[in-house]
Formats: sequence, structure tokens, C-alpha cells
Amino acid sequence: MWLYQFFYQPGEWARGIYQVMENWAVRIGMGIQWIQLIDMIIVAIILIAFIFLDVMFLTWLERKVAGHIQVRHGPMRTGPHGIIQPVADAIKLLFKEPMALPGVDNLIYLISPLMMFVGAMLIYIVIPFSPGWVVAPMDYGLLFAFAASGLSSFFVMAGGWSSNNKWSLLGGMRAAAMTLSYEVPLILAAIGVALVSGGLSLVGIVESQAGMWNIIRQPLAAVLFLVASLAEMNRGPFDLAEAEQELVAGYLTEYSGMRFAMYYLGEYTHLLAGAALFTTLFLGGWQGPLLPPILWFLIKIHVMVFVYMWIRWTYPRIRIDHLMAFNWKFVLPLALINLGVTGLVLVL
Amino acid sequence: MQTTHEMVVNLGPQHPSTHGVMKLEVVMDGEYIVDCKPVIGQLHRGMEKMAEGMLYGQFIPITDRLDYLSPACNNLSYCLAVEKLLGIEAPERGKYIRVIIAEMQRIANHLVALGSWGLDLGAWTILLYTFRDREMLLDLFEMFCGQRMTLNCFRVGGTTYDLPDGFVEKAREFLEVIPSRINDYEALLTKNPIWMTRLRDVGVVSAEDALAYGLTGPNLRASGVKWDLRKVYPYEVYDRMQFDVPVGSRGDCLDRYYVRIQEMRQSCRIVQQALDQLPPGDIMVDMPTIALPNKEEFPNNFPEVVRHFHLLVQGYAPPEGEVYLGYENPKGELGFYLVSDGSGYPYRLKIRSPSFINMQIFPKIMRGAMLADVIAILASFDPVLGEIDR
Amino acid sequence: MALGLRDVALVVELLRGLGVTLRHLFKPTVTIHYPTERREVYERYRGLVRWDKEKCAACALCARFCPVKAITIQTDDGEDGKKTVKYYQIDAAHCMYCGLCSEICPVGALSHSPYHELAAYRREDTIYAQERLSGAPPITMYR
Repeated sequence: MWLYQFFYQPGEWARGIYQVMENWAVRIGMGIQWIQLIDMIIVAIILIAFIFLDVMFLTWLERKVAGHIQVRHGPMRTGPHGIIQPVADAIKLLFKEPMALPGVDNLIYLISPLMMFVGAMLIYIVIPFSPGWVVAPMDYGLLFAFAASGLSSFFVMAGGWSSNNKWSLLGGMRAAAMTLSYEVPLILAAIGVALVSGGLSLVGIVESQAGMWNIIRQPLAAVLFLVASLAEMNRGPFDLAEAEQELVAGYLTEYSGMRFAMYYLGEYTHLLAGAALFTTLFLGGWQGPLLPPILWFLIKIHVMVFVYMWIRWTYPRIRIDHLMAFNWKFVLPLALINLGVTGLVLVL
Repeated sequence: MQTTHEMVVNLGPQHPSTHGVMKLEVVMDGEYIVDCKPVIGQLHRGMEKMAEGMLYGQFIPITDRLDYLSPACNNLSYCLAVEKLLGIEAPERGKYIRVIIAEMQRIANHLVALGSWGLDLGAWTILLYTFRDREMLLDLFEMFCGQRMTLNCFRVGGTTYDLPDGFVEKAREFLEVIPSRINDYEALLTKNPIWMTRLRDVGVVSAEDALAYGLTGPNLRASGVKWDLRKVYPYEVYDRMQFDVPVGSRGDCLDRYYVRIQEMRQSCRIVQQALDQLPPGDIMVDMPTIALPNKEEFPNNFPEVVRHFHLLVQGYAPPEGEVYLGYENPKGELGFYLVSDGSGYPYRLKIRSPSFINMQIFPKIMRGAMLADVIAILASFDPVLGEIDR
Repeated sequence: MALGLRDVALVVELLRGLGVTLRHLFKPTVTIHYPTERREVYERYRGLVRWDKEKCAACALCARFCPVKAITIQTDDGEDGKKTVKYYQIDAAHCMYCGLCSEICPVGALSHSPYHELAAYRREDTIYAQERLSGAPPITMYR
């Protein structure tokens, strides 16, 4: 019964737990605001634990997907099929010396990796995982998600600029230029969805897709969103900021140890958040038959992550000016057309 | 006041995509290249001088280290140059074996070129596919002569070994597989819009420039000049083979890519024909002054032993004179200029290595390109540093 | 050349690329797990050079002809006037496995073994002399 409620009525289940805690607080005479704080901390810990565990899984998955696409195995020695490889990586990175060149801008150099990670994490607080399971059910959740996502790209540029290396500088500048231009079609594509659903609240968007997913109602927007989010996340054919073969390692060139790990984690957190946003906007979020909503949501975001990885390991990297031309001459007009057609259909 | 200035960046020797220890001193204005200066020499081993202290036969394994991605072709070019100096020719079967191995080596070289090129442009997966297919060729080489990379499989006047049992069958197996694999690469790259935009109209070399700078090989043919030494001065048994010389039209990176893809298909054709025509017979020229005697006769044939020692201590002395011969290597014309003073050692050996000459045009075509183009152009010329620095 | 709206048709090519990688995703892998699995070398493989003391005629032709001079040989006049080998060594770190020595040896005393995992911690360990020159090489860290 309890388990059934956890899976199928997660909203009521969470409210039930909160009720129990509140009753207990009233009994021992604790202020209601304190119990709310404790509740928030617990939610934050659960969220962060979920993100960390899933990101660890993603780093493993990326290696495995890359490996099998390239007809090799990927990690095999650490545990069965290398499943604890991320742990080995984390231990290795923890023991590495965090180096800094003379002439780095110390404060920014230090906080950029952290802030990038935080920026990527902020997106999760508006993502509805399951009915009633959303940290902050904002009415303007979509806007907040894009703001947070743009913030993390800013710290990619800051990190690259502060580390006093020419490659890093070029990488950081590329990241900034890319984010600036790809935010526009990203948001335009999402606005089409918002128009259809009638609101910026992500919960509302998911609920409006009960009968039909938005990917059917808005296929062009889905494709454009996919492309623009690849660029936004510095991934796939648009990983120009890192561009290992051109810029050595781009903005990561001078980072090592845990600072590098934070960037790395931030990148995968961003990837997962991008997949979650795509799922929420186009794939109907938690909706699905038979299985409990939370499982549907997890399945969908991991399928999306796989698609992102699949794309990354298939295509060559695009050049920076083509990237811009592609955006302004191709993605943006299509996004505008899509928006116009959607509006027209809605009005009629 | 705000000012902008150009940035000097050392692309290499520790850069991930310079194909070895090459350094390009690049002056950049933003993402655009203002000037580019190749700095070479980190891999210099003094091969030309080494040759002067070695018998003609001793230098063959050293040529493996020139263009270490196509050692068999280097062996072949050197052996042919010495043979010309001596005025001999390998027997029929030896010639066919040489052509089979050399053309396989050409495929292997183009596979590496293609894979590392894809890798340089961010298409990681193609590298693993091409290396998987190259592995089949390396297995064949190991079967034939015992090494995978540094073959040292040809001798002056023939080849070291005959083809082992099962080689022909395995080679045919490879020939059956490879066309579909090349189709896969094409599906991944040829018409991929990203790949096309990255390469088209990048690093354009006009036919006049290509000739003026002395480009050879696929890089010259991509500019529209139909010049293939296998066709122009047929050596070995190439005159009996049916094959086309693919040429490009625009001379940009995309043409260089496509010429290489086509050349792989043509090489497959050549190997196929050579395997079909493979005659029985000797693999080494039957001349007591050049070929080593048969070791099995030694216990009861003392003069042969003496000849053996004489050949290996004094070498074969070509007549006085000089010879220059260039042959079509996967990367271009690899030429050996040999001066003989009548002794067993070459008086002078000059190597005309294709990568070195092809690289001269870099500063000209890199100006005005973007940083990402530098990588694409560099990879499109398929340089090997062992050959540039010698 | 930059992409514009006219190139929408090329999306098909992008999908073809995705198809190729998806097909390979489900193909059996071609790599092997090296230290636990090994590939067999072919019969003619040119690995570590082995020397047969019994067969050697002490002619020193190998040391003379070796292009990188990896072979050192010291000969001695034996009691019956026949040359004998006093000392024989091959520096495996200099040797480039070209196969010339085993090819030219008139008595077949030199041969190639299939051993190729010869990494050693100390430089001295890469020098194979006298009795270390026959049989299997010592097992190092790496095999």
C-alpha cells in the first residue's frame, strides 16, 4: 500500500510524510518554519544525491556507448562491465594536485567550476519528476530553467578567461558566443510548446500532454530544441569550447584535480538537465501507461541522454563560423516559422 | 584606450593533432590565421648520412622508419632505385608480390589518414572503424613477413619471403569485406553536411600552385592534375593492371578526401587483379652477384659460403654513377637519389620525401583560414613526421 | 560554404550517419582484453632474437651486418684451431627486429621467437647475453 502510493501517488505520499513531520514538530513544540527548513534540506540532499549518482552512471554510460559504437568494450576491469569506473575516476581526481599557473585570476579561477556546477543544478528545482514531485513548482519554471542554464555557460567563459592560457581563452570565448546565439532558438522553440500548453509552468506543460505528447504536436520545435540544447550544453558536434583537437582542451586546459572534476560533473549535470527538459517539454514528462510515473520519467531522460551521446559519437565537430551561420540562417528562421505557425493555428 | 593585437600561438609540438612532433607557429587575429610557420626537425635522425655508412642491403630496414605508415612502399622505392643502379629487375612473381603488398600498404596508409583526419575534426568513431579494418591488413603483413608496421619485406632483386599458405585466401577475404566498410565511411562522412562544410573550399590549392610547389600524390591529383607515376612511368607490373587515377577538380580538402577514398577502391582493384594473375616462379633474381645463396647447400658447397660472406661483407658494388627514381608512395613521390662510387656503400643518398615537399605550401594556404581549418588542412595533407624530418 | 535553409535535404545524410553508428552499436566488439586474452602471433613473427650456442660458427657476420649494431660478439681461438664464441649479446633495446641477422646467419644459429613483451624496469634487463639467449626470456612485470 505504502509502496503503491510511493509509485502511483507520489504527491500524496510526499504530503503524507510532510504531515507526519509537521505533527511531530507541533508535538515537541518546534516552530513550523524550522520544520520547513529541515524539509527543504532533506529534499536538497535527496536531489543532490540523485544527481551525483546519476551523473556517475552517465559518465560510465558515455564510455560504454562510445565503446560499443566504436566496436570496442569500454571500461571492463573495474567491477562487472566497469560499472564502478566513475568511483575509480573520482578517487584519481581527488588525489591529483590542483594546479594553477602564475597569473591566473585566483578567485574566478577557483569559483568558476563550482558555479558552473551550481548553475547546472539549479535547473533541477523546476523539473517535475513525478506528479507533485517538484522542488519549486514555479509558474514561470521554463524561464527559470533557461536562466539557470545560461548562467552555467557564463562560468565556462569565466573559467577559460581566468586561467591565463590562450587555448582556454579561445575556448571560453567560443562558449560565450555559442550560448548567446543558441539561447534564442532554444527559447523560441520552447515558447511554441508553452503556447500549445498555455503556460510557462513545467508542471502545467507536462499535464497538458496527457493525451498527446508535444513531440507530435510540435515536431519541428522538438528537433530545433534538440539541436539548440546540444549547443547549449557544449556537446556533440557543437563541443567547440572544449574542442580537444583544436584547442587542446579548451577552457579545461589548465584545470586539474577536483576543479576539473567539478567542470566534468557540471557538464554531465547539464546534460542530464537538458534531457530532463526535453522530456518535460516534448516527451510528456512522467506520463506513460502501466509503469509508475517516476520510472517513466527516468526511462525517458536516459533515452534522451543516449540520443545525445549517440549524436556526439557520430558527427564531426562543426566550425565556429558555420555554427553561427547555422544558427542565424537556419535554426532561428525555422524556430520563428514554427512559432508563427503555432500561433496562427492556435488563433484559428 | 582599447587596443587589439595579434596572438602568437604554438600549435605543437605537444598539440593533439599535429600528426607527430611538428610545430606550427601561428599568428592569430581572433580565430583567423594571419601567418603560419611550420617548424620541423624534432624527429631528425640523419638517415641520409646513416646510409653512407651502410651497405645497400643494410639500409632497407631503415627506410621503414621514413614514412612509418607505409613501410612497404618505402622499401619498394628504395629497392627499385638500387635495382636501377645495378641494372637488374626482379622476377615476375617477386614483382607481383611487391605490387600486392605495396597496394595493401596504400590502403592501410589511406585508412590511417582517413581515421586520424576524422578524429582531428571531431568524428571520433571513424578512427576506430578504419583501424579495425587496417588490423586485417596488418595481420596479412605479419603473416607475410613477420612484422606489422616495420615490414622490411623487400630486398634488392626480389622479396625476402614468398607468400605463405593461406595468404591469398585471407587477402581475398579482406577484399570482399573492405568495399562495404568504405561505404560505411562514406555514409558517415562524405555527404555529412558538417563534414562537407568543414572541408569544402578550405585550403584550396590551384593546379598551378600545386605544380609550382611540387606537390605530389593525392594532394596533387586533388587539384586536378592527373599525374600518377604508376600510370606515367609504369614500374613493376602496373602496366598490366586496370585502374583509374581519381582526380579532383577544386583542390580543396574535400577533394583530397575524396581522392583518397577513391584510391582505396582502386587499390583494391589492383590487388584483386594481381592476386588473379599471380604467376608461379622465383621471388629473387637469379644472379650470383646479388642474391644470397641457398643456405641448405652450405655444408657441402664451400664456394657458396665464400660468396655468402663476400656479399654480406663487401656488398654488391654497383657501377659508378648516379640515379634518381621517384615512385608513387601513398603520400606522393618518394624519390631516392643515389650516387655510387663503385664501392659497396652509397657515396650519397638523398631522399625526396613527399610529406616534406607537400608541407611547403602550408603558409600560403593557411593564411586567412580559421584555427579549426588549420587542423583540417594539416590532416588533409596527411603528413608523417618521420618522413618530413628524416 | 555555410549551411542555409536550402540544405534541408541533407538531413537524410545525417540520419544515415546515425544509422551506421547504431548498427555498429549492436555488432560484436573486435577488441580483446589484452593481458588476460592474447592474440596468437603468426608463424613468421619476428620477435626476440634467440641464439643457439651449439650451432654458432663464430663467424661474426651477424654483428657486422646488423644495421643498428645491436649484436656484440667476442670470439676466441679454441684448442683445435676452430673459432669459438667467448661472449655473445643482443641488446633488445637497440634491436629493431628487422630480421636481417637470422636471414643471413649461414648456420641458422639465430632465429626469431614469438616473444615480444620485453619491457623491463632496468636498462640492463633488456640486454640478452650468453645463456639468456636461448629458451624463453624471463617473465617480466608485463607478461
